[in-house]
Amino acid sequence: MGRWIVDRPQRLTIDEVVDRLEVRLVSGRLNVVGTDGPARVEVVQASRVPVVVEHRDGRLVLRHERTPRWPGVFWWLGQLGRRFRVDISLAVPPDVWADLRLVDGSVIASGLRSTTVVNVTSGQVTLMGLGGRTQAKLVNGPVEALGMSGDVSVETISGELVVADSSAERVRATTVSGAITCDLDNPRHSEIRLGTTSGSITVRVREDSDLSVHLHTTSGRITSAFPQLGASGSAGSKHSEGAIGSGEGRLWASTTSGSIALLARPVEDEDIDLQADGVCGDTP
Amino acid sequence: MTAVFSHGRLRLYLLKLLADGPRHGYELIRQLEDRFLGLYAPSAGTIYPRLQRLEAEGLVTHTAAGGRKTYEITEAGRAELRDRAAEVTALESDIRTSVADLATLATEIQTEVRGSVRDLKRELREAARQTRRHRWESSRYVPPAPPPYEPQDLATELDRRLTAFAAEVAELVRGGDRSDAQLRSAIRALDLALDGLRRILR
Repeated sequence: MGRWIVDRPQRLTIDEVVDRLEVRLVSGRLNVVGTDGPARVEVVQASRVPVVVEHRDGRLVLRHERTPRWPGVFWWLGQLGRRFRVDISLAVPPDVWADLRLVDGSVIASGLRSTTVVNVTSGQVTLMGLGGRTQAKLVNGPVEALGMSGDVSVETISGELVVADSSAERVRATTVSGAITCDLDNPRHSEIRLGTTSGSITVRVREDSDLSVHLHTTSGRITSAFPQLGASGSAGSKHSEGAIGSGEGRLWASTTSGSIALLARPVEDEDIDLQADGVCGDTP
Repeated sequence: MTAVFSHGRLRLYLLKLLADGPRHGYELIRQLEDRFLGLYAPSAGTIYPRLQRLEAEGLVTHTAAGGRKTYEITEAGRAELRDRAAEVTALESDIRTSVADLATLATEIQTEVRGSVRDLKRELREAARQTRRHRWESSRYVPPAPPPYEPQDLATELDRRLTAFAAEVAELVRGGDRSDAQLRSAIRALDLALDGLRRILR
C-alpha cells in the first residue's frame, strides 16, 4: 500500500502487484504502456492541483485531490485548465484491467492485453497493439487504433474512427459526423458493425473472408469489391447484401448520407507465414 | 524532438538488422520488438513494404525457402550502411533513450500510428477509386481507347523526353528543402535508371 501526492515532475516505481488501474484526470496527456517489470509512474508535467497516486490491494489509482465539479467544468477548462493539466506516463503489467478517464486531452495506450476502457470528453485517443476487450469513447475527437486484437469498440459523436492493421474478432465503431476507416485481417467468425450518420465508411476485409454482409445507406453511394453482393434500392435508400465465402461471420455497415466502400484485402503468402509462426514460434 | 523512426529511419534500421545475418520478415519484427522491450512491435504491413522497397533499390535480396522469404543484405546495402554509419549510431542511441523514457515512447507511438493511418487512408482511397472505376467500366459501354500516340521519329521523341525529364527533376529538387536522405535516395534512383538504360542500349 502506498500513497503519494505529486505536485512536481517525479518518477515512482511500485514494486507490489498491480492488476487494476484507474485514472481520473482532467486535462493533458496520459500515456499507458503494458510491459513486464514493476509498475512505473512518470509525471513529466505536474498540474498545480496535485495528483494523488494511490496503491492498495493491487489497485493503482491516479486522480486529483479535488476535481472541478459540473457544471463548472467547462469554465475550469477554459479559464484555468492549466491548473489541472498533466503529462503522465505509466508502465503497467500487460494484463492489467485499465479504466482511463480524461476530460480534455489525449490518451495513448499500448501493449495492454486484458480490458481497457478509455473515456475522453474532448481530445483524441491513440491505441496500439491492444488485446482482450477494448472500449474507447469520446464526445469530440478521433480514435486511431492499430494492431488491435480481440474485441474492439470505439465510439465518438464528432470525430474520425480508424481501426487498422487489426485482427480483431469483434469490431464495433459508431460516430455521428466522422468517417470510419477499417482495415482488418479479420479471422473467421468475426463480427463487424459500423455505423455513421454523415461520415463515410471504408472497410477492407480479407478477400477470403467468410462474412454475411449487410450494407445500407439512405443517400450515399455503395462501392463493393465483392461482386457476389447483390444490390437493391429505391429512391429512398440503397442496400447491398450477400455472403462472402461461407458467410459465417457478419459485417454490417450503415450510414445516412455517407458513402460505403467495401474493399478486398489481398491475402499474401507472408501473412499466412506469419500466422503459422505465431502459433508455433511464440514460446520464448 | 525527432521521432525515432521518422522518415526513412526504420528502413535504415532494417538494413542494420539484416547486416547481422539473413532473416525472414517475422524475425525482423521480433527483433525490433525485443529492442523496444516489447513496447513497439511493427506490423507485417509496416515491415514488408519497406523490405520490398529496399529490394527494388537493390540493397537486399530474398530467397524463398519452404514458402517463406528470407531477406539478405547485398553488397550495395552494406555500402549504404557504411556511408550512413553516423546516422545508425545516432539512431541506436535514440532507441535506447526512447525505451528508458516513457514519455518519448508515447510520442513515438503516436507518430508511428499517425503515419501508418495516413498511408493506409491514402491506399484505401486509391483502392476504392479503382474498384469504382472497374465496376463502372464493366457495367457500361466503354468508348474505344484512342490509338496510342505513335511518334514519327522515335529518336527525336527520346531526346525530347530526356530534356523534359531533366527539367522536371531539377524542378522537383528546387521545390523546397530536401533532407540528405531524400537526396541520396534520389541519386540512387537516377543511378538505377541509368543502369537500366545502359543495359537496354548497349
